[in-house]
Amino acid sequence: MDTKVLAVASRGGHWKQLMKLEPAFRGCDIRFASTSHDNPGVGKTSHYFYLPDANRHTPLNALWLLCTSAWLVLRLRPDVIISTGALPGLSCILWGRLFGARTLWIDSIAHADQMSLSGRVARYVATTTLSQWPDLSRMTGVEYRGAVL
Amino acid sequence: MSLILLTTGTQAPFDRLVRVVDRWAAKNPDVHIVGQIGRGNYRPRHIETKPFLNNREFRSLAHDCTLMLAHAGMGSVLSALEYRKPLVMMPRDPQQGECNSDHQFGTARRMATLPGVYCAYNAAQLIHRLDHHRQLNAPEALQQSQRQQELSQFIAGFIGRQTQQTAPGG
Repeated sequence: MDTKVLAVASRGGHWKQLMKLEPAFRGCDIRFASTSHDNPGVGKTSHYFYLPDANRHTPLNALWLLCTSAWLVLRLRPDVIISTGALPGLSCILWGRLFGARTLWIDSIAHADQMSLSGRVARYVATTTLSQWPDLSRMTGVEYRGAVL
Repeated sequence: MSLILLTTGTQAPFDRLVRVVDRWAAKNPDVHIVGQIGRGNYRPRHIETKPFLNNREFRSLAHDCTLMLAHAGMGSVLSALEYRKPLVMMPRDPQQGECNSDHQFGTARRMATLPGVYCAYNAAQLIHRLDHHRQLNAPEALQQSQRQQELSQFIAGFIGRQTQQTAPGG
């Protein structure tokens, strides 16, 4: 049976980075989730899921995001969860860890001098956390395994 | 006639950038500027704007424009490389409440080493770039870098390890 993978990224730059990695997901049973209401043009419509956007300044939205992402992860029961950011991805990774998924956090290439806030949390939650900058990887001890560019 | 596509990302408005562009547009009526500027307080009068463009609108403008103008976000950089359009970007300044951290300065400094990607750190630099935008180079055709290959292979391996774990004897 194909591995079930859930790939999550907020719309905008995070999503664009995830799409640069899309070829790596071919051959998997892949589902995508993002913060655009409509499928931003990847795979089957039924394989795309909407998550509400939230950040640390919108606590109510963050709470709602925690609920919807828990429901999504419970429903899909993915074997692997991969995210390029931001909070919606972290939230899925959190639930994934609780429900036994292997989880991969790829910190955005926009964070070259310091890990993103979500990335710093992901270090304690995700199975593996990557930075896309070798220097930052040396400074923080987070793994470097290439970049989207 | 030039067409400039201005974008300020999905998270927050960027009035400082929009204001400079709007004032420049007033003096340069021969340049058509379309902006996706979110919901800020500043109401531009000389450029055509929308809070958000849908995918179809964005793709069509990205294809037709002569220049992309944006905050220093990675979405803007990746779009400029994909559509091979020169990009002028201005980093958001956390001290002016434009975002939470100074990470856009890091993005701007590093990404401006790519051909076709240019930075403007203040209004004067931005106006200078706009005045001379017809001379800016376009980015080179995208090729898969070794870093990209490495990351894709790592991800494939990460997913593959799962398959081996869940298929005993496989």
